[in-house]
Amino acid sequence: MRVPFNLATLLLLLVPLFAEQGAGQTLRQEPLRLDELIILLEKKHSTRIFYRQEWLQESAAGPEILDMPLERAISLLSRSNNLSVYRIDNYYVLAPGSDPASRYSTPDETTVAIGDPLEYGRYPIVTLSGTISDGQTGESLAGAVIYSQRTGTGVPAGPDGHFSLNLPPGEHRVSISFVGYETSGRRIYLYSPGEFDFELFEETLQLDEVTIMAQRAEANITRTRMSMISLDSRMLRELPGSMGEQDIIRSMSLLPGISTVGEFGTGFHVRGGSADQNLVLLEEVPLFNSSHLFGLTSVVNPDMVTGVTMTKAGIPARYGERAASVMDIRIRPEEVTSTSLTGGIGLLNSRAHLKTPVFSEKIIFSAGARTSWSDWLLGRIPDEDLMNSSAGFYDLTGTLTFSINPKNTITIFGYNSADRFAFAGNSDHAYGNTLGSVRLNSIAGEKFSFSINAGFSNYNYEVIESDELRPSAAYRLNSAINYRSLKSNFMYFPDPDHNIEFGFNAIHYDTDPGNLTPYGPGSDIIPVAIDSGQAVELAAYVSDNFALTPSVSIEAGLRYSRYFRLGEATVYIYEQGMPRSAASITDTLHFGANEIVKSYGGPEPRLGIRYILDGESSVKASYNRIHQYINLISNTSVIIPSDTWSLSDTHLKPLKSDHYAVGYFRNFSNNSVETSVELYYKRLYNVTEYKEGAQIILNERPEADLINAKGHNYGIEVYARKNSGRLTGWASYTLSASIRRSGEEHPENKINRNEYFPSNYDKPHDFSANLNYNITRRWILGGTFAYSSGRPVTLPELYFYHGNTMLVRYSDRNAYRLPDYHRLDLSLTLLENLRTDRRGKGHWTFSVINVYGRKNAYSVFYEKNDRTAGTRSSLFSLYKLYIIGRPLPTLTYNFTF
Amino acid sequence: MKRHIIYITSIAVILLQSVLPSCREIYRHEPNIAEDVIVVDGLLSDRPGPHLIRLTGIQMIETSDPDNPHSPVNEGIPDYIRGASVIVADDAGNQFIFNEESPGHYYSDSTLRAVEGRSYSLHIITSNGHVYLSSPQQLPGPVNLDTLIAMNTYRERLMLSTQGTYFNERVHGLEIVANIRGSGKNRPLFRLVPQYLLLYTQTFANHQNFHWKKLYMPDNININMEAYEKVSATVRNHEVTFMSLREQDLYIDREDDFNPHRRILLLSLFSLNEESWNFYSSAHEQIHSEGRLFDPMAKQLPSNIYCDSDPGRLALGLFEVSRVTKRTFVVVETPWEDFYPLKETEDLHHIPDFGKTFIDPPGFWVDR
Repeated sequence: MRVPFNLATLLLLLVPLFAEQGAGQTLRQEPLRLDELIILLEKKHSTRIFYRQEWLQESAAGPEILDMPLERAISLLSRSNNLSVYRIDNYYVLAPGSDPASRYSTPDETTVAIGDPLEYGRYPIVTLSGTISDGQTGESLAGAVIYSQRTGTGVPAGPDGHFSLNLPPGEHRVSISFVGYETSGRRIYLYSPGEFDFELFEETLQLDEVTIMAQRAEANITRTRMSMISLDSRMLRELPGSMGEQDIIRSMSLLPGISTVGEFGTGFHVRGGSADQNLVLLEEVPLFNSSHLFGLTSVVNPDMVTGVTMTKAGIPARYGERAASVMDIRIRPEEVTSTSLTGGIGLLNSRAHLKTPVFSEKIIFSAGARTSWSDWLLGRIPDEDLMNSSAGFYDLTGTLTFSINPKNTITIFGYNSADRFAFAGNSDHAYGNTLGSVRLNSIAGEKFSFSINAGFSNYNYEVIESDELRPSAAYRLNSAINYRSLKSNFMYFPDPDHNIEFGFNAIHYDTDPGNLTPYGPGSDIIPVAIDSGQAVELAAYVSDNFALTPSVSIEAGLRYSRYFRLGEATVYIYEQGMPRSAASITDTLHFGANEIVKSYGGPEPRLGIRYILDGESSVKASYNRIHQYINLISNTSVIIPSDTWSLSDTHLKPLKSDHYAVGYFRNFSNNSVETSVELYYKRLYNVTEYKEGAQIILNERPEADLINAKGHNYGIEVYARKNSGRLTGWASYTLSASIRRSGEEHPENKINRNEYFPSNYDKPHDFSANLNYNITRRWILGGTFAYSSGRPVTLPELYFYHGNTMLVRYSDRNAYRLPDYHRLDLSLTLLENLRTDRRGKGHWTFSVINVYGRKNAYSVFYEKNDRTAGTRSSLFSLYKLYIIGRPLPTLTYNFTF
Repeated sequence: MKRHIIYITSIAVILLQSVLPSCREIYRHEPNIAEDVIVVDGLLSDRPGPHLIRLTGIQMIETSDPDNPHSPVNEGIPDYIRGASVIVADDAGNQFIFNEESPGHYYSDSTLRAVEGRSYSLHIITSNGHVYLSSPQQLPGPVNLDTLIAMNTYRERLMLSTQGTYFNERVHGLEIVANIRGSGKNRPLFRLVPQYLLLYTQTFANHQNFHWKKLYMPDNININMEAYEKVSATVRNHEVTFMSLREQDLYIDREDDFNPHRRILLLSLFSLNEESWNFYSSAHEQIHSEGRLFDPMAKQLPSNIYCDSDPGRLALGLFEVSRVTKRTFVVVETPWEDFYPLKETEDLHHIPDFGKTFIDPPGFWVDR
C-alpha cells in the first residue's frame, strides 16, 4: 500500500481554482458600518487599523471601498470622519484631528502625506504651500528656504513665512533651513496640491511623549483567542536586548508560561513542554534549530522581523505539527516606499538589513545578514587550545515580494544559517538551517482570500574528526532532516464578526539520523549508515470564528491529520514485556521504498470561547488537541546541535496533547494596563523519555533507549502589562507543574518505579518583569528581572569502588533541583536626536547583564578533579557551571540609513 | 563516538566561557539516602583460585569545605563489611565457602574454578542478618585475541599546572590496538585489563641493579562498547592501552642513571556474560559522562545483587563469572619509527608489582 500523496497534492492545487471561481461573486452589497469596513480592510490588506469606536460617525459606506487601494480607502474614511491618519510601519492609526491634509507619519522617517490620495496622478505638477515658522515662538521665518532634493529646486519663504513650491507628485525629501536654526528634513508624499506648515528650532527639541498603540488597546479583551502574545514591530523594539540586540525568541521566555532550561540554551519550553514541541515558523516554514552558538542568540535577524505571534493555547486549526505552541515570525515587509539600511555593531555579532522598492514598488526586496565576531574573540584569548579553536555563525535572510496587482502578491523567501566551531584544530562541527518558500497571497473577492505556500526546511549537522595523529581514526559524521510542505489556507468573511478559515497541508519529512564515514585516505573507520526515514503528514482543517451574541464569540475548528511512516525501513519486533534490546528481538520486518510502515492519525478539535463581562473584562476558555509526529531525540536537558530528529514509527508513537485553558482578562486605566489570569491543564500521551544513559548517536535501534511516558502539565499564569506612559513594560508570574510517569512493565524500563516525577522543564515558580522608563525623549532606562525555581536534575548521591574504580549511584530521575535562578539586567539607551535632516540615524545602548553577579547554575555535573603536574589522584566532585558569574557590560550601536 | 560528543560539550562551554566570564565551582549537595548499602565486588573465573569476593559499604557524596570551595572532597574509602557469611553455589548443588581473610575480603580455596556451561550464584548473609543473593551467572564462552599491534604516536592531554593554569601536554607513546574474535557469530563481549611492566637497570656504586615495576593504567574500564564495531563477530582495532614512552610517566626514583631494558604489556582478557557486560559498559558510560555539562541522562549501574530478606533495600556491585586469559607481550624495538612489533613471551602476571636484584637479573628477565 502506498500513500495517496499525489492525489492529495492534486487536491491542494485544485481547490484554489474552484475557490477562485466562487470568489468572484458579490456576496453582499448592503452598506456596512464603519467598524465592519475597517475589519474587512484589515483582513484584506493584512494590516491593522487602530481607532476608538467613539471617533467614528455612524455614516455608512458601501463595500466598493474594499476594492480601493488601502491608502485611498483609509483616506476616504478619515476625511468623512474628520480624522487624521498616522501610519506606523505597516499599521494605521485613526485619531481625531481637523488637519486638512491627512498625515501618514512614522517616528523614524517622519513621512508626511500631503493632499488627497484620490487625486493622485491627476496633476503633473502640484503646488506645496505653507508657512515656515519658529517652532517655539511661532514667529514667521521670512527668508527660510524649503528645498527638494529630488528636483533640486527650492524657494524662500516670504515676509509672512509663506512659501509656495511646485513639485511633481510622489515622494520627496525636503529640507528647510534658516540661519541660526537647525536645518530640518522631512520626507513628504505629495498626492495633490496641499498645504503644510514647517517649523524650525534653534535647538534640539524634546517632544512630549506620544505613545501610539500598535494593537487595538482592548484586543486582549475582545479577541476570542487566548494565551496569545502578538508583538508588532514597535513592541519588538522594546523587547529587552541581549548581547546588544533584541532577541525575539529569547525575549519570549520572559512571558508567562515560557521558559528556558538555563542561562542560555537552545530552544524554549512552553507550559512544561519540551523544546521540540514548539513550532517556530519563519515565514510559514519551520525552523528546526532556532539558536546560534548554543543559544547565545537566536537565528532570526531581529531587524527584519515585522511581527511575531506566539500562541500557547487554543491553537487555531490551521496550525498543527507540534504539541505545545506556535511561534509565527513574519519578516516580509508589507509596504516599502524608500530604500533603507539598518543594522548594528555589537559585541558578539554585527548585522545589516536592506529593504528597497523596485520597479515603482511593484517589487519589494528585503535582505539581511548577520555574522559573528567570535573567531576574533577566541583568537585573543591567552590559551593555546582556544587560540587554535574557532567558532562563528552567519545567517542570511531575504524576501522578494511581487505585487502582481493589488489583489495578488507572490513572496519568495530564502534563509540560510550556518554555525561552525572547531576545538584545537581536531574536531570541526557545523550545523545550519536552510529554508525557502514561495507564497501566493490572493484576494479573490470582497470576502474571500487565500494563500498557497510551498516551502522547505533543512537542518543538518556535521562533525569531522580529523585526527592528524591518528588518521586511521579520522571520521565524518553527519545527520539531517528535510521538510517539504505544500500548504493552502482559505479565508471567508461572511460578515465582520464571522470568519471561516479552511485549508490543507501536505508535509514530507525525510530524516537522515546519522552517517559515519571514514575521513581521509588513511582512515580505518568502518562506514555506518543508520537507515534514513521518510514520512508524510497530511492534514485538512476548518475553523469558524463568529460572534454568537455581542458578548459571546466562538472560534471552533477541526483539524484532521494523518501520518504515514514510509519505507525503506527495517523494523525490529521485540519480545513482549521485555526491554527492547538486541537480545529480545524476535523478528525483523523489512519494508520497501514508499511502502507504509506505520500509520497514525486522528481528529484534532479546537475550541475557543470568549465572553465579554463588560467593556474592560472578559472570560475565555479554550481546548485543543494536537498530534506531533516528529520528536527531537535528546538525552540532555539542554538541546545540543547533535540531537537528532526522529519520525514516529512502529515503536515511537506520536505525541498527543490535550490542552485545556481558561482565563480572565481585564484592562484598567482606559486600556493602558492589561491584566490576565490563565489556568491551564495539559495531558500528554506518548511522551518520549529516556532510559538511563540513553544513546542517540548512531543508534540503529533508538527505540531500545526510549521509554513511553505520560505527562501532566498544569499551572496558573498571572500577567500584567502597562502600555503607555513614561513607564511601560510587563510582569508575569507562573505557578506550574510538569510531571511525567513511565508506563513500562519491565523493571529496567521503569523510571522511578513508574511513579510520577518532575519533567526536565518543571519550574514551579517563574516570575519575570521587563520595564522601560523614558527618562527623556532620548534617554530610556530599561530593566529586566527574572526569577524561577531551579530545574529538576538527577544527581549522584553516593559513591563506591569496584576494583580501583570509583563509581557513583545516582538519585531517582530528577529527584533534586538546581538552585533557584534570578538575574537582573539593566540598559540605558540613547536614541537619535531630532535633527531629521541627517542622512543616517543611530542609537546607542549600554547594558549590563546580571547586574549583581548572581552565579546561576547552568548545570551540575561531576568530574574527577583536574590532574595537576603534582597530583595524579582521581577524586571527583560535583561542579556547578555558571555562564555569567559577574556583571557583563555591553555597548551596541544600531544605525539606520 | 563519545569523543566528539565530549568535544561538543567542551567547545560549547569553552566558547561560553571565552565570550562570557563564566566559571564553575564546587556544588554543595545534601543527598538524602540511607547509608546502609552493601557493595559486592566479586569475581569467579575459570582460572584456579583463590577467588575474591570483596564486600564494602558506600560513601555519601559530601559537600565541600566551606572555607575552601575549590577543594575536591569525597576522598573517603567506604568501610569494609566484616563478619559476613559468603557462599557461592552452582547449579549442580555444590557450595563453595569464601572465608574472610582480611576485613571485607572473602577468599575461596584454590581448588575452585568456574566450569563452562555451569551457573553460579552468590549468597551473602551479613552480620545484621540481611540476606543478599545474586542472579545466577553462567561462565561465557571464550574470546580470542587475534592480533595485537603497537603504533608509534603522540597523545595530547590537558593538564593543570601547580600554578593553576592549563597547559597542553604532548606525550610520546605506543597506541596498542587489538583484533578480538568471539567464539560464535555474535559480537564478542569482553573487557581488558592491561598493565605495563617495565624492566630497567640502574647503576649504584658501579654495580648494575636489575629493576622491574608494574605500572597500572588509568582506571578507565576497557570494554568493547556497542556501536559501529558490532557489525561482525570480530572487534577490530580495539584500543587496548596507550603506553607512554616518557620517562617521567614511569615514576622512577632516580632518573639520572635510569636505563630502560624492556617494555612489556601484561594483558588480561575477560570474556563476559551479558549481565557482566551490561555492568561494565554502564560503568564505562558513567565514567565517560564525567564533565559533560549538558546534563546527559544519568547512567545508573545495573547490579546482579539484590536483598532477599528486604527487597526494598539497595544493593550494589557485581558478582562476575568470567573466563580470563592472561598473556604477556614484549615491545620489540625496531629501526622503524612507526611500528613496534609485540612478541608474546611467558606470562609474567604472577611476578610482584616491583622489585630488584643485584648483580644477576631475575629469572624472568627478558633478554634483548
